Amino acid sequence: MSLQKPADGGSGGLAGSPEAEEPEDGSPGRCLPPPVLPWDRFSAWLHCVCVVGFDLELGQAVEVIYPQHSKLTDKEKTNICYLSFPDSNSGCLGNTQFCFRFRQSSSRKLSWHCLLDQLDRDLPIYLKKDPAYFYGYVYFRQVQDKTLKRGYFQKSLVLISKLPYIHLFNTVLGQIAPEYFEKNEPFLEAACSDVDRWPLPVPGKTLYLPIMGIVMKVRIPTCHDKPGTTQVLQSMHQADSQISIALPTVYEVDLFRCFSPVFFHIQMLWELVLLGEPLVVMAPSPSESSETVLALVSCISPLKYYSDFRPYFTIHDSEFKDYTTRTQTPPSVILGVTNPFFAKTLQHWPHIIRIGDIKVSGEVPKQVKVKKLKNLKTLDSKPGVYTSYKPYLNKDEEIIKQLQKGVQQKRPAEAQSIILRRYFLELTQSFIIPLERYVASLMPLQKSISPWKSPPQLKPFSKEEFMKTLEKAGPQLTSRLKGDWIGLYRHFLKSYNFDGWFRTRRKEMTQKLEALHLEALCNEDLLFWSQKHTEVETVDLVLKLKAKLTNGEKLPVKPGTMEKLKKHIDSIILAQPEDLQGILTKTGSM
Amino acid sequence: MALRELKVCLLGDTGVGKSSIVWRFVEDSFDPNINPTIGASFMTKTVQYQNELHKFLIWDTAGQERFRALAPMYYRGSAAAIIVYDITKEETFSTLKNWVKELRQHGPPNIVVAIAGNKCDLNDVREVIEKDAKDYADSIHAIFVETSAKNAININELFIEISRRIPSTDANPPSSGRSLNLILRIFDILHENHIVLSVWRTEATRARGHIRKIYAFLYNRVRVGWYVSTKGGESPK
Repeated sequence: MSLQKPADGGSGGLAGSPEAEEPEDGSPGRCLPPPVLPWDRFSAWLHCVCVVGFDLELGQAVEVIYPQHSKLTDKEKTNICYLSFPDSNSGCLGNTQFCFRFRQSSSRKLSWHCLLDQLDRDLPIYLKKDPAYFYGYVYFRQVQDKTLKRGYFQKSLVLISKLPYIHLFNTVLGQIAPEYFEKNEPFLEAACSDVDRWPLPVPGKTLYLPIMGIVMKVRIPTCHDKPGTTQVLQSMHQADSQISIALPTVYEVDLFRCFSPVFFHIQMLWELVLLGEPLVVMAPSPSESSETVLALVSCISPLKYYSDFRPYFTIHDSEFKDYTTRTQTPPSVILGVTNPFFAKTLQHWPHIIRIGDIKVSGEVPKQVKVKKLKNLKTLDSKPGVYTSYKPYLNKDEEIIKQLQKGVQQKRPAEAQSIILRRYFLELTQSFIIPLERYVASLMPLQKSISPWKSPPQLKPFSKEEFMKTLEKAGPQLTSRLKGDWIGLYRHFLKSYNFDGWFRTRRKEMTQKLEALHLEALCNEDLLFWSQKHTEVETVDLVLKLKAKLTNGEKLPVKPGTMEKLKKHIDSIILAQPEDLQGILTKTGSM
Repeated sequence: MALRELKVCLLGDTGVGKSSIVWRFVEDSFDPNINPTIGASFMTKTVQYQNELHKFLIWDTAGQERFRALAPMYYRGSAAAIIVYDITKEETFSTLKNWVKELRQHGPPNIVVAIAGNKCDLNDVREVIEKDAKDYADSIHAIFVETSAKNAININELFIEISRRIPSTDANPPSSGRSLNLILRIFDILHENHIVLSVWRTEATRARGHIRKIYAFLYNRVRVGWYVSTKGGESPK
């Protein structure tokens, strides 16, 4: 490893030094460019803010939705109500923060702000918005209050968003919820008005987000970041930490703390998540269930987890029946639950993680064996992983030792999490590189691209061909782990995660082929061609070219290609008789 | 040049021109029909003061009574508060005195208070006598200016005076900004070399202790003297 100056490399994982950056920016969130309408900025971050209270007659009810014009269907409201409150008798006295994810009603239009789509394009795949789901970030307070009829104050402040930025929104809630419970309506109005002044969530930029008297500095990762680097933002002075806080991440959870109750099984859990196996996390409270589910989903990053996952799932959820019915095999989902009822409902599930209270100190249990499923009693079984699954790969003792040593030496949890994240990353990369390499070989040769034929097709994916490549270029090149890699790949190829991954790759490659084809076409003398062909063929060509002009926006073509295409079209049209010119200019135009 | 972030909040009755003062300072513009502020709005402006850059983080609060309870969030951690009244409205000056009391009781101990009598371009309909206001300001050791956001009178001067009154960093232990910057760079080297460093997010005081050790370590092993001294001028000892 060579030393590198972070200032010019940028690979060091630092978002510029504060000193170098501050003077030139001068204007974070300063003035709003005129075309932005009220609530445009707000809705780039949040769909709405809800207050869910407990009505003695009705039970949970949405008391306030802010801004008032935001729309939620009745079904969505019902889901939000139940998901914003703890679902079991675990108490949760005081303040509890957690998050949930729910399906949006099918009646809702899936179309999204085109501007936001553009922002979405630069995000790493695992942070891209899922059009069918919302996230809910909850701050629940339950305290004794003798002035109230039932003697308890129970209320949740909930942020509804499409963005999977748990750390950011937890910080926001920590900042606003305690004050909201005291100051009510005007406070919410003011907080929302702050969010409406935030800059757009542009990946890769340092964003300054003012909220109720403090400024948060954040950076949303981009798909161009080197995987595994943490983009640390720094506060300038300690004294400033009251007024501006730098969030080290917007979306990551404290991986080590989440996995500490099931520490010895991390590698098996990685396999289960990779393969999209049905998994349920039974936890004492929604904060543990939601963090653990998010940790599980993120452990295969940079791969995206393509199945459904619910950091917190209740028996009231509209998908409850679909997911728990015993007549089918359990679905490929990860659920986080707290209600003891699930221990019974889901006892046919193949893999169950049961966690107790997560200790803040990050203590880890002594060596524990995987527990047999039949030992899972309905109510208070011991923490652990209950499964009959046999991992394909041999256990990596080194990472366990390294982390245990860290615990003994009181290494900070952040450092432990970084070690663990790096371990998962290397494991996932070792696994995926052979697939990437094989899929890249499905691309047709450059010379097979002819401007006068349609773009060549990708070769089909053949399992057996791929398996053959593993002998020479398998994961053994990058990972010291032994075991049944072949078996793991065979299983993976049947999973949703493979399906989703391959679909994304195929789309990218097809677009690349189309782009190359378009570039080749633009390098031809199309006017000359049209002069040698009949009018019908020329008209046909112009229409096809025009269609390419419209679709080409999305293609990764070289700069200038679209302009070239436009010139070709114009020059061909100009060479036509006048009446035809008029028709061609109008038809198929954008 | 060292950069300091200074949080400043504006307080005062509704309609006295708090937002207009901020707009004049930050954007150098004036809009007679500016919207009422909801809760608070936030803007920044960086200006040079002597050999420092002062980045003002300006929280402009709403004057309406119903937002009054939120004010502590904005003046909490503030280096300065600008309390604004309207020289053409006597009652806005009474509200100002209440703000002063509140800041005394609940505000940060060393907060610099500035009193701005805005709309001094409307001298014909004046209700608050300049001398009365000045005497009051002196009695509480506050900065005092009469301003006009409309005609850009005394706005920049107000902020310059705030810069002047805020204790300079020399009184504090040596700037941690540079040390943190340095530690970040070192962390980066360690990161590149797969060495996990456990101190990158600790507070500056603890970090300074660590930084010498790490520095010594790196200087001996990998000769990065040129590397860490490029920015801050902290030379190896």
